[in-house]
Amino acid sequence: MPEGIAFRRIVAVSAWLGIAFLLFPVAFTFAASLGPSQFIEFPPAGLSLRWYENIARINRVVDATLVSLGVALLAGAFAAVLGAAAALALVRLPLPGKAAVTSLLLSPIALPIVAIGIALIQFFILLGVAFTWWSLVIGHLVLVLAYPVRTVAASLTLSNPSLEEAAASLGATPWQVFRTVTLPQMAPGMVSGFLFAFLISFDNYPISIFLVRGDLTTLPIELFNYISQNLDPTPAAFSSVYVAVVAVLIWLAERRFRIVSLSIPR
Amino acid sequence: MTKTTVGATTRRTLLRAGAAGVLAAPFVSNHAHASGTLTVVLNQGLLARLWIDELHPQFERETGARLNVTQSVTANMLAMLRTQRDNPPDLMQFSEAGVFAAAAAGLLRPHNPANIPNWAFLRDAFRLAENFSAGVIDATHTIYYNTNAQPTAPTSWAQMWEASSRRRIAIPPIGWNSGVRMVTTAAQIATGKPFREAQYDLDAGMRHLARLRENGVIAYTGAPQAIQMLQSGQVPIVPFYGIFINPIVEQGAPIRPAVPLAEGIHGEIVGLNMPVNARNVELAERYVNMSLSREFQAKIDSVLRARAAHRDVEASARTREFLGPPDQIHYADWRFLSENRARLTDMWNNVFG
Amino acid sequence: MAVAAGAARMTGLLLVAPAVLFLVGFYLLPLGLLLEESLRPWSGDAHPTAAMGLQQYERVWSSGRSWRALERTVRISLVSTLITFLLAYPIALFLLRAGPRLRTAILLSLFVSLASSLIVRNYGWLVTLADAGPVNQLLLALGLADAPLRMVYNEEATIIALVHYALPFMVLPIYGALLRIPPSFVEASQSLGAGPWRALWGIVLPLSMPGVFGGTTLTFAICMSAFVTPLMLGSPATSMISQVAAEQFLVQLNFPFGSAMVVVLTVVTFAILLAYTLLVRAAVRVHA
Repeated sequence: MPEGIAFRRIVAVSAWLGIAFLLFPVAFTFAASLGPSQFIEFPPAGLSLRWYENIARINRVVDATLVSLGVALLAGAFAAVLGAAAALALVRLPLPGKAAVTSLLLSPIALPIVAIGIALIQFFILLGVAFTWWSLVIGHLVLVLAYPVRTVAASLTLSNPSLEEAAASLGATPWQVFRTVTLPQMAPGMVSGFLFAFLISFDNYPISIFLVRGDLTTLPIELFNYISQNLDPTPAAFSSVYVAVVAVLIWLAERRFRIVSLSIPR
Repeated sequence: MTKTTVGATTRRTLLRAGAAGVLAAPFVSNHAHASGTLTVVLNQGLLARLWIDELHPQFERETGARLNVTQSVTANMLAMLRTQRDNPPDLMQFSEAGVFAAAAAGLLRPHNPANIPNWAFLRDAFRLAENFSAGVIDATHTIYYNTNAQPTAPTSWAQMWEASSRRRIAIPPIGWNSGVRMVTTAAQIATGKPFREAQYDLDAGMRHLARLRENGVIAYTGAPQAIQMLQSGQVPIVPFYGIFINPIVEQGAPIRPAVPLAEGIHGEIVGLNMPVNARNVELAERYVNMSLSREFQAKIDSVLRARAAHRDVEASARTREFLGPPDQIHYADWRFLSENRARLTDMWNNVFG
Repeated sequence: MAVAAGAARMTGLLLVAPAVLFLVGFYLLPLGLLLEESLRPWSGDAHPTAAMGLQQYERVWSSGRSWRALERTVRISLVSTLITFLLAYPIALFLLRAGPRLRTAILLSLFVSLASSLIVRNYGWLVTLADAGPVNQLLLALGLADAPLRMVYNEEATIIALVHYALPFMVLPIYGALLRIPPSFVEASQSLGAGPWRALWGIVLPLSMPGVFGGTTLTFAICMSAFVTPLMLGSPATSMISQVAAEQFLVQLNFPFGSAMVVVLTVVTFAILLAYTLLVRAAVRVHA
């Protein structure tokens, strides 16, 4: 990092501007969620928690939350397991065509998300399984599979492969080596990957909107519908709760598993 | 925390998560198929709110059934009808703009007045398309304006094209039926013919409506945006449905409807319509009957300040202030307009999109 | 040794097979069907042709709305990527010298932002940029405007929200690349008399190129595929191509036309990224 007082000041100011840019909308939304009026006011004229209570009146909020939770848990779990297995193979084992397999596994992130949704709904209609809960899980899994692959690969790359050799040379069976050495090395990546897969699935709109119909709905869809039709600050209250929960989850994951260092590409 | 317990914890977490997901699945998919559930697709905003707040608690109490509610607009509801032909909702609330097209495509089932006692009280204008629709409200559409930013009420639609309205006007999106009505009104202004004839000249209407772009018009995307524009006065002249905003006006917002307008304002009958393969016919008929009851219809007048379908509910004096003279409300030929809607949507999108 | 290697390869294949098979079945195959669908005629057309062919692609090019949306999407993506880069690089530089607690706090903020619902974040911008919102109030208070500026439901709002979404995706790779630069390089150049700006431009920036490249390509791809953000913060006049494709699917029910639009979007995205990759490679060769 270059030295120089003026330089450092400019970098610091620019950086803080960027960080403020990142955080201010969250702060303003929280402030707006406390206003008593049905119109969004800033600064709020008073303090009221009525919009937090009103979250319960978002259309089908309970059903939608249950669906989103279930789908995210399952998609995240499958992604963590399948992705971890693939990452293990890619990092530690000899495999033909690694570059091609890696591109395949990571490409859904770069593809237009609506492409995945549109392609899948036509596919599912063809198969006759469209608009089911499981089709949602599959659709989300396609998108989120890439994240655990990256994070587990990162945690394996960062840990020491010779530990496995050492354990084997001390007489451990391959399964024991895996359970006592490799798996703990993968654990932070799996947790981090699961967390991201879960959150991205939970939040997803562009895939869900094509895959749902009738009774099936997800939380982002109902939240979006509410925002499109109402102007009261209920979504602000919801947003504040959501960000708080996510912040706690990530903070806990960082404390236990140090996930931050895993996601910095090296 | 030793390494083995970390690994074990991760495995356990994952297993638990997976099990939870698998267990949740049947719960969620069965939940909606419980007997005694009525699936209703309502229209938007405060119109839907009236049904949700005033009718639904009573319905659930009296029938013991559960209500599964979604909201949409006519154009999307038509698409829904087509794609959900085998598993449709039980009732859909959309206007004459969609009823003729849906009935012609065989997507709707006609109501049976014998099972709906309150049908006898329907005004003639609200019996649409040979019983295919039970009209429940007249959703009139006119120019709304912010009284602080626009002290004198607009007196005609044509005023939107004048230089004095530059950058002060908005129009609804073509996905709303009122967006289509803007084209017919533009045709009325451009051709000088009475509305009844002019509404068929969509090309002239589109050409004239396109000229609003030179006047800096904004096409709004949804009700919240339109209401915010009116509330703040940022865009003080906004054509809008009365049913979406009249209660807010009644609460004291600086917003008023501009009635009468020289070319007349737009009327649109909204009804409850039953898809052809809907399963809960009996519950649906009770829902329709409740929507047509005198008590509920009186709220359409007192809360939404709109014309009710029940012939014994006369428009109160206050509601008449919102509507203007009845002979200045024009109803369109939606058979023709819905046939041409796709073409019109493409034209509008090429101009404003 | 050969047996062990063979067994290892077998294990590797078995481990990677579920993920690969899943993606082949539920990702590649549906995309292939999408491609096929884009070649079909639409039954709802006034004059449908009977045969498969490129008529939908012709329509993408000739229909004003989809062509404008495509051009707008590319333009917005390029602008957003540039702005995100300009905001992200100072943050990454700052992280290098920040104390461990501050660094973790900033990184966690980036993560929480990444993990927060996109709808929640876009809504935050609707609140922030509203006519009566904090930004307008600040502008009025400072006398920089005499009437509230229209900052939502337009292209500017879409770009701001896209930058906000992409910022963590740009900061992290750049920070990772900066971490790999040996501090001695910079120290050496400065002890030879180079000022901090010279060191930045001549040493730090080029050496951080892998991170810059990774961040910019990811950001560009994200912006090109944007759907929810322009839907919430834009207007019909600022639609991006994903929205227009979605309309065809959800409202017009014209699956072939929508599919063609999606294919065109994918191809254009990859083409631009490929051109960018080749450009960067050539520039690196010239520079070195």
